[in-house]
Amino acid sequence: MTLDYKKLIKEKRKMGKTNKRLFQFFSLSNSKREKLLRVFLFSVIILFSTSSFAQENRIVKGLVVDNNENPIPGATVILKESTIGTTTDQYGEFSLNIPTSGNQILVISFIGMLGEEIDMTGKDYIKAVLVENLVEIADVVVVGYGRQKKESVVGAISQTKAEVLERTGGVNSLGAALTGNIPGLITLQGTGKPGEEDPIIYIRGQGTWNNSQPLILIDGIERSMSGLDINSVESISVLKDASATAVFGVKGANGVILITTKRGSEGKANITVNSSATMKIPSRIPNKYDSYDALRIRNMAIERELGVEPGGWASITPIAELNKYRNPSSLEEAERYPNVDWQKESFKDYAMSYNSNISISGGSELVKYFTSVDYLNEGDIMNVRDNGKGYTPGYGYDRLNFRSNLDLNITNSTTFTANLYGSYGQKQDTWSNFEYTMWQGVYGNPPDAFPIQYSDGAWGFYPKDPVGVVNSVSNFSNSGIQKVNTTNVNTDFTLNQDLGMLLKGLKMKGVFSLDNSFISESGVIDWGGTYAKWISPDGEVFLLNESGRNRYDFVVGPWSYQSDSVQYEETYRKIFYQLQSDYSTKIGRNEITAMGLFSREEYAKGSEFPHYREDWVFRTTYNYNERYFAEFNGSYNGSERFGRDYRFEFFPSAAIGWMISNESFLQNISWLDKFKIRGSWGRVGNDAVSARWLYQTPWEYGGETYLGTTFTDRSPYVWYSEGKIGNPDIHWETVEKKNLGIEYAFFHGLLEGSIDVFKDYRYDILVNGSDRAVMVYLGGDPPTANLGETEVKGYEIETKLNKRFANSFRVWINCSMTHAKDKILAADDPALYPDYKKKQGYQIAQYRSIMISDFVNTWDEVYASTEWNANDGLKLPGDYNFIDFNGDGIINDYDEAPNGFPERPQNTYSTSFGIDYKGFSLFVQFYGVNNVTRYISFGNFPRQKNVVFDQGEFWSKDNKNADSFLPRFIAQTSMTGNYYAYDGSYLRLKNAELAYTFSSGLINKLRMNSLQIYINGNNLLLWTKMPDDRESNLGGWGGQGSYPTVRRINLGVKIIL
Amino acid sequence: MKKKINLSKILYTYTVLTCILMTSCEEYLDKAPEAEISEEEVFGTFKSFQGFVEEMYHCIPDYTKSTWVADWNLADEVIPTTVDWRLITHFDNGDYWYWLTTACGWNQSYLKACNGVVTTPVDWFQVGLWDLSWYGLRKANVGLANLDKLVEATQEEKDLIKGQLLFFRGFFHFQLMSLWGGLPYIEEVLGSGKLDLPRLSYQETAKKVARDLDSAALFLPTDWDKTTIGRATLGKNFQRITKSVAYGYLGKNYLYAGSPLMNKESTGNATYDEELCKKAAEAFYKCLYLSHTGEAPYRLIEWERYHENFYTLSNDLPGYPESLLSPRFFWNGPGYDPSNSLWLPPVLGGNLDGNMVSPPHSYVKNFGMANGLPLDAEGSGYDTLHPWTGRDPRFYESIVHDGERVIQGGDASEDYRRYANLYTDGNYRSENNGSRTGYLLIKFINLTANPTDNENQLRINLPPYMRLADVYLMYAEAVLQGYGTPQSSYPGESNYVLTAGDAVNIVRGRANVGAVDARFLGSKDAFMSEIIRERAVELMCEANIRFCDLRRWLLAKNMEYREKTAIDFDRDTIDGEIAAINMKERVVVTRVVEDRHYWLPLPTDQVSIYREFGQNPGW
Repeated sequence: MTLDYKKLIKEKRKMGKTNKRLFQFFSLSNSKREKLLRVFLFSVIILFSTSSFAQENRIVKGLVVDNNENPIPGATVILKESTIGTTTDQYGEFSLNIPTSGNQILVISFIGMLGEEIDMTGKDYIKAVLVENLVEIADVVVVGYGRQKKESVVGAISQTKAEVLERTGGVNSLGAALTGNIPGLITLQGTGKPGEEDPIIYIRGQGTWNNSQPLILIDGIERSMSGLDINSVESISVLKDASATAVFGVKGANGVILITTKRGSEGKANITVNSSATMKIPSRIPNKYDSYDALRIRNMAIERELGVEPGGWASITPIAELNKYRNPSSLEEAERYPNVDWQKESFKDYAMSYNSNISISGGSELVKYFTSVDYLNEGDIMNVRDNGKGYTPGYGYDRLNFRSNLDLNITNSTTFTANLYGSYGQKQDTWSNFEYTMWQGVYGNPPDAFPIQYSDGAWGFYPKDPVGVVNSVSNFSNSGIQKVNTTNVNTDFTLNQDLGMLLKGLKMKGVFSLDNSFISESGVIDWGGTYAKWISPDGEVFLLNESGRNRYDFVVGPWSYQSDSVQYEETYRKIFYQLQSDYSTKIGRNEITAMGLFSREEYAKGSEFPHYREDWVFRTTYNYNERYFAEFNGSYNGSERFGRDYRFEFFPSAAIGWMISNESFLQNISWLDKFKIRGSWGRVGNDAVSARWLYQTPWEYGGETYLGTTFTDRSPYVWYSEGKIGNPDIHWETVEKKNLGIEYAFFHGLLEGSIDVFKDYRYDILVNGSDRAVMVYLGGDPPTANLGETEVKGYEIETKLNKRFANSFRVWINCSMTHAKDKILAADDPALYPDYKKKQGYQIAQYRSIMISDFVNTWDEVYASTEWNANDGLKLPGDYNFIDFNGDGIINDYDEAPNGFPERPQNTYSTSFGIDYKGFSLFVQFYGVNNVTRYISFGNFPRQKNVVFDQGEFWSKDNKNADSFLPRFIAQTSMTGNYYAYDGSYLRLKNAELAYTFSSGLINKLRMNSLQIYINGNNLLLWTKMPDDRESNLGGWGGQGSYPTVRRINLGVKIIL
Repeated sequence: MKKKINLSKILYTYTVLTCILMTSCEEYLDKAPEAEISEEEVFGTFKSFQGFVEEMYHCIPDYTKSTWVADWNLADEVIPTTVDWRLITHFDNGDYWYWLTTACGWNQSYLKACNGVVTTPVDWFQVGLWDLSWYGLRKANVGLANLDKLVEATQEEKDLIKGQLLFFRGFFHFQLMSLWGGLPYIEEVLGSGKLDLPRLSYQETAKKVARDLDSAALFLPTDWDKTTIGRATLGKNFQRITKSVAYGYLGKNYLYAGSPLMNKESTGNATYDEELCKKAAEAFYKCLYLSHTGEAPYRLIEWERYHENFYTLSNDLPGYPESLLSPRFFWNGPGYDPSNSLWLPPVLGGNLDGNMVSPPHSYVKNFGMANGLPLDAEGSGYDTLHPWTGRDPRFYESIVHDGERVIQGGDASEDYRRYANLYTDGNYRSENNGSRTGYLLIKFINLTANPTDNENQLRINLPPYMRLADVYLMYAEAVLQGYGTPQSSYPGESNYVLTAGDAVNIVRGRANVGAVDARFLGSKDAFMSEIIRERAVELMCEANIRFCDLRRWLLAKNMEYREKTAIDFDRDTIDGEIAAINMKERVVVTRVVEDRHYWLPLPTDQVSIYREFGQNPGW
């Protein structure tokens, strides 16, 4: 059976009904109006009572099959324009009670199939054959300020949908769930801290060193996607080229993510309950040596460097003492010679998270609704010890989201949409101002410093370096509880008016939106006072207390409750309003649409002066006979960030497309479903600069001089000072985007895919003062200036295979690959730098360092090695030889040269594979990246602490082919070159899911439509050379570790009532 | 029933609406006027302008407090314990690049701010000489460029403002050039256009500094308390810039410019420039004369309160009335003082893990005998068995020696640490967390800050940048090098004749030390050797004085200043008196000093912008 898409589309278009007029409603007599209102109210009541009510009815029956004559269970059968509906049973059969009068058309639909409409007039039984929708399930694509048919889209847009995001294995960050599911989208994750797992997102690489995060809109309004629950997301559209993003003008340069939340559709109430429990297991943590090994290696290190540091003798640990660390003969000895595995003591084996979601959706001709409630509880991996104070600290994240999306058809030509979204998130943290000390302890504490807790309950501390070595477990257990409560309330009101009575095809739309968010803090304030002591290896006892050491008294400071207090400086509010008109017409084979839009936005946080923004946007599209497509977009934007001369700018884009497969000469090739070529060009801007009013040099006021005769004296003259030096010529960054793409589908949907090639040229990139080559004698931070230029080149390949066999057995494979490489063309480098020292010519944040070559094995080689500009006298055999990159005979700054890659991968790969068989579905997804470098310095003996990481075999004079240099202890040269720059490539088993759906038998008797049980996982396996499982040194103690990232195993159930 | 819609009406409304929106958009995006301060508000009155000026007082960093551990003794004054992250250690190893390292917490000095330019530092983590001096320079130039806006002010007020602005412009240049060499002289408010000022030679820069300091002295008052405006802050004016301060720095600037290193850099002659030294002598004379006549408030602090040059044990700031220029004092509460851990070994409650420094024997040898003779001079009375007897009184003020009673109170349980056990293997000594040399430095802290006597609750540490004793000694040097003999004097007022020798003896006399012996008054070189020694003793560990002195004298490369030594000895009692036997001097650290170490390296990115702003030689 050949597919006639064009016919289907045409039919669908007919479904869109017209059109009684708005003013009809108002011109009605009072009684009629009342009647209408009554009907309206009545319909609302119907909505919430899902049962249909008695009328003169008849029963119609039918069978729904696919084109292989296999029955389709669970297909939806709805009487058109009514709330009457049912689903097919396990045999694909249905039976429905419909009124004898009125509409007699049944709408039959099933996920993955094209819907069918069947007129039942005069029929009691039908057999419906549903055709698989092989090309694209969603034939409508969300674009900026509107929707377009998939067929006529000429921009580079990728769209993913709810089901894909829902199978990501218990991941609760929407950003993290996108990883691997959108070609061209690159994410970097840095921490596993509950509630802070949102990754950095790049679309098609990084084109600027300034804010390069994409613009994110939820239901058309710029909002953060942090905290949004995945369950209420209908689709996510990622706009990548200029034709798609130019409508966002000065905000769209980094790509745009459009999130559309679920809405109700006509039909009976659909209740979905989804509940899951997730086990989180720390993924990968660097391995550290125990006390015995660390001290033994320390002895080796000291011995090696005695020649340059004879003072090291004082730090040698005798063998007899070493043994006590590993095999203490008594508790007393164990406390004097501790051996603590800080990572093991700090982290639990696993933690649990729970997520439950219930949503109700449905609607009638008058009102459609979607309501959902989502609750999330993220557990904590940290090992909390009893602090004996009566409260239990720890991390955690609880979130409650509520959404209600209503669509009201006020008249036949007027619809009113109201979205209400509320979110309450509670992030639990410790009340420590020095959170990094937690991670400093976990990753950087010497195993021999002190036991976490002595047998008498005293916490360990380290008087030898109380700042450098902290008892992170004690800190963690005694630093109170900080609860940060974030409340978001977003409301959108949209009025759509069809102005067909004025001009056929004209529509107007007004949007008014209010967003508010509040942050409040509460918890337990505890300044971490503990009874702490240290027993030195000599047995000497040191007590920690407030009033000087060795006073044998201590007072643990009392803790107190902090009642919930609003953080006013964090209070955020935004007003947005928009007026949009759409026009579409068809003259013969020419289909033309036009859109014009005006919007304003005003937002502020705390007591700051409000931010303003103003946009004017238009779009025209042209479609000739579904064969030739053209589009022209423009946006005229204002941004308060720039001076008057640069406040407004016009951003245009144009795109064309050719659906070759719709040409008549190809109509007869049966295996060719689709072949389309499209290309786009355009300019988009980026005004996301670091500070406001950069065009001005402001004056600042405040502060006074410490002048007088006592230390509390202050001068009476209050300071005035020049603020940041301004640049009146400051303006936005502009990116010129080009994209060429093909889309294809062959063999009735068996093979489908797309290839996109793109090039972004970005100019006028803002170079921050501190990055500019400006003489220090300017006397202040140089003004930011539009001096940068970059280009990003790359391609995206996406291939999908989908084969459905008899007996509803289906196999599918999706592969995608993205390559995006940026290059700096200009960056205000110091002119006299040699090329390799410049940023120009390399990627943004290209890794640079002095490079190591082989070991210096003998003293002869030491003397022959290139001189270091610092600490040359400390060189020893066993060090690395450093490459004198510029060949000037000395190792210095000028030998720091680009090597490796940036921290952001050039290539990302994603492969998903799935099998569906009747109720079973199995799916695995691999995700990998390469051409990436990550610098993570888990250095040994930092500040003479006995910390040694497992970095393989150390060099010795008998082992000259070792994995690693022998660390230094005292005579540290702080030169490690690129030793700690790891190849950051990795391959992950990103997601896997096994699910079974019950949709008949007992399930139906329990009045459920379907019941799905699934087990899925995220980040299940990892292959990499990196010592930990992070993609970026974000969060926590930066390069030295943070809250560990986790693997997730998720067990869940989804019930549709 | 159907009503006709008037299309033109709708279009009209739409057009009008659009126009309204269009015309309002420029203003819609304007900055709120409330968010701005006008130039007139800043410069219009003395009160506001003085507020503008006074931020510059905060651009003088307190060198003793840059992080939890502050390093500023960058020459041969101290040895730190065996740790790798100390600035001193890196400087000793010749790694002068380390001044640029800002690890915000540990290994960093007052030279570089922790987070780049912090324009209004209000605690010690934010100070940085490099950053703040450049910021201060801009500020001085902005102020000078806007002097005409100061309308509502008396002549005195205008003079005060101008004098301070000129002083700071000269001073910040001097701060920078004394470490990094000749620089461009910045005397205008620079815009964001092309900046390509060439580096001047040291002496060229110094001459411009001198011009500013000289005219600053004209405008500045001798005593703020005696001015009309100063009455608003009567009694609290001591730390403000005065004529004396300007003359002090004018002299220092000339003396540095005339010193061998700077003269060599500018002219190729590695000798003193007599003319510049004469000018230096003149400026110092003017400074001293103001104190001599009593017009200026600066005096030498009497010997009994000598330590109040550096610290007090009360709320009062140290330095009165000797200090000419001090940094601002940022107080973090009792016990939060880097000097605590710097000077005290763990046995006295100091940090257990190597934050200590100790003075090397090689430096301590500068402290001669109370009779004024150097240790090795014939008849000095130095007894190697009782090496700590009869020494210059400042020795006991600055250094803790073996056997000295440290802990005054407490019971017998304190005896293990009551006396300084600084002999070999004594419990005050340790390579990695005690004294490495056999001495402790006590100049900036009270001995009773130990955990037993516990007088640690309120100590204000604030060593000065320049004090009157330094001016006397610099005067002596300038006169000697400018006019040729220790008996020379600057030809000033007849009622105040001060020879080079007198100037040194005034400083010694305050400390009850004998005058310079006749043996050292016979030649320029002999007297210079006493000046060198005297400066080492009197100004030990103050600011970067020693670091600059050794460099400007072109002596830093000499072995005697490169080798830092410790003493190994056993304690004994001979003739009822504690004695040191088996004493051996041992080299602990040999500093790496080559020609390039006479100047600090400039940041690489700064010297790579245009050729005329080049790197210092060797870096």
